[in-house]
Amino acid sequence: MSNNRLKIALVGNPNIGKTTLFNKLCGLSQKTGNYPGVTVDKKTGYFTQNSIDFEVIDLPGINSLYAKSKDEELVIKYLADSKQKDFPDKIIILVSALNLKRNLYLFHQIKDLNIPIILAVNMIDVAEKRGVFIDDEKLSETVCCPVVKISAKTNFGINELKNELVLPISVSENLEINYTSEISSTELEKLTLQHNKLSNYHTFLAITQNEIQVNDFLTEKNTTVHKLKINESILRYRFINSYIKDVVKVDKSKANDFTTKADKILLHPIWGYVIFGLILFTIFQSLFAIAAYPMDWIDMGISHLADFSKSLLPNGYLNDLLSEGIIPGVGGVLIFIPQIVILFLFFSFLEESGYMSRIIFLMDKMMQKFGMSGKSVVPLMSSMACAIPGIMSARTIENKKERLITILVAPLLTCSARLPVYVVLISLVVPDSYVGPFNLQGLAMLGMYFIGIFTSFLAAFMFKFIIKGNYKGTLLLEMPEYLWPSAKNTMISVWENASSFVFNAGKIILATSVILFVLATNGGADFKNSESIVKEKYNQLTLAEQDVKIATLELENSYLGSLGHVIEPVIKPLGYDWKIGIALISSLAAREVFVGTMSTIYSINSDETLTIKNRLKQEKNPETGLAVFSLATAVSLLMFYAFALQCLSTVAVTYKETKSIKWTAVQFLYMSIFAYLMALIAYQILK
Amino acid sequence: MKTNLTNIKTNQTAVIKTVLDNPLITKLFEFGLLPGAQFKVVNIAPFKGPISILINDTRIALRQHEAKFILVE
Repeated sequence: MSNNRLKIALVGNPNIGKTTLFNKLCGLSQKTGNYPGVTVDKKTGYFTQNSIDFEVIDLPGINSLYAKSKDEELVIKYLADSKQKDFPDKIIILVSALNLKRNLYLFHQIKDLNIPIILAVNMIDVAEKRGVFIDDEKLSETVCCPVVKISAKTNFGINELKNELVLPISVSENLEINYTSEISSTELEKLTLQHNKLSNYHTFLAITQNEIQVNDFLTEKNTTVHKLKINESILRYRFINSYIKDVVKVDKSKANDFTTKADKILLHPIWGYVIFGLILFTIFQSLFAIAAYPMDWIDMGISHLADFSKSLLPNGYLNDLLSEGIIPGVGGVLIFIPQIVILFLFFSFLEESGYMSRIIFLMDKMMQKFGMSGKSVVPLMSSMACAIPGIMSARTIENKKERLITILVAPLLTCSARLPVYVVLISLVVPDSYVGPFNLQGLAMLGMYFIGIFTSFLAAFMFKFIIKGNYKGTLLLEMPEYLWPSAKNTMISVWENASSFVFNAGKIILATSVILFVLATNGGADFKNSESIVKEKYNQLTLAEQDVKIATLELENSYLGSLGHVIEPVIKPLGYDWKIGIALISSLAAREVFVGTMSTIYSINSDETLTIKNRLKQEKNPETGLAVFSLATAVSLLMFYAFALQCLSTVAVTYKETKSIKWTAVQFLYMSIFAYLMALIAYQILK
Repeated sequence: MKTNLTNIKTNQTAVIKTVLDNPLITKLFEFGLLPGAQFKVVNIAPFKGPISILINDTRIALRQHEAKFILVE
């Protein structure tokens, strides 16, 4: 990091194109925190203008400087402390030309913090088409700060904005106080000096947050902290109303109310839900019907690659490690890139178009019955890709109880890490045939999704009665205008999510497959003597048959085999043998490891490289000669993977977000116990 | 005629008279739901679900629970 880099922070209300502007400014030279998700974490990007390097920080959208959710708290703390080391040099406040009045409210609050800001008015193109014209010079004069008209989507004004960032901004304290009538400016100034605050508004905020206790003073003025806050809103809107007519000219003849017309259908009491159902159905059908082709290619490719590396490299331990350990292990992650890409394509399309908040509107009443909010729908839907961004995006839920319940049940939904496990198990026991237009395996998969959805709601319903909450909770939500999503944003979001998923899951899988391979190819005395034991016992068999016996015995006596045997008594009632036990142990860290482990275990000491599915199909119980993966075992495994919290990253994120060991433990335990019971019931009924 | 926001039907226009004190009053005010503001109810979700209103050219959705605090004319 060079010191002469200028730091810029992007601030604004939610849903006004902040991410679009960020992508326009920085393109692909950006990085997010560890996890995917739209502006949930601090995003940083870079660009250069007039040979000055800029660093841009994209902050989550906020509605005011009074925090109602965790997300807002984070931004407000960041903005209020302008003395901190990494405080931005300049702040861009983005407002939408379509929602100017309401967005200016936040602008004035931040402006009063006396920090260097530039006001960027977005969606100028859409506004002008609708007959809304903004006089930027007059606005700049009125609010005393640079104003740039832009359209983040079409690139209009982006260069002007960059040029404005190069120029120095002078900050002078706004002497006029538009946020309180009870406390006079002289009184405020006195308090500011007395408490060593950065500005009068900092002092005012400290009073309303009870950080500065001036109860006597307030009683004397016949007011309270609560009244001060209410009066601030009234005064600020009064101030905005006093100048807005000079700044905005509206030509009613051009008004086009597409959103109202669209909402008539999309929020219709019947059609609204039908359309939402159809959208969900389309998403899941594409996940399986369309993704199946590239997934088959990847599966074939991996198995060819393993063959190729086996024949290319000289025989030996390293060759085996690569072709039987690493390649099939990593292949297990790569195979579900197509599904991740499709899922996030739909998600970012829904988010960008403005439909996401309609889902919240439609679902709020129903979600309340389960102790959650309409805002839980987005975290829950994200959890169908990965519980981690899902749990993090629950930050937007204002009500603590609703938020906690959402976090607790989110990992029950079918995340993409479960998909490869489901795909393999379903393809083993469900025929690949069609009933009418529906693929049976696709229907089975849909069934697994419904199980996930059903149990998460069931769990939420139970938690609703267990967890105590104070206030009934609220929902105040802005429903943005429908807009055509930008292709660039969609692509960047898909790229971010897919690559971070592959990278994060890939790291774990690579490490696990190497460790597993080493554990499977080394062992104690029995392991080393396997060859002589078999030669002695089965000397009437052919050499080839003896080789198979040796391989089986070696694996059974390896360190890995011993580990599997140790837990066998616990998992036997579920219908699992020690080999499946090994896969269970290794997938404690991450579910998708199951497939990699299975393919590693079953390809060790086998000369042919088959696809995972065929290898598992061939697996027979050495005692009974029956297939290991019977219907009962496969269904039992499906149940176990549907409910168990086998994901260390989720446990870590739950702790990070709840800051509570108790709730993290509750989540892990209720899921694991439920998983064991359901797997047990499934196996005992079906066997 | 004074009544609360939940009694306004879709496509009807009304003016906010007063907002009764409630834990969310500051938030409502920040969203522009202030006394004197004119609004139009655009959508109501079924089974007494949230209400979507058009106010200051912005669509805001709120629950019935909060809407009861908003007295209109």
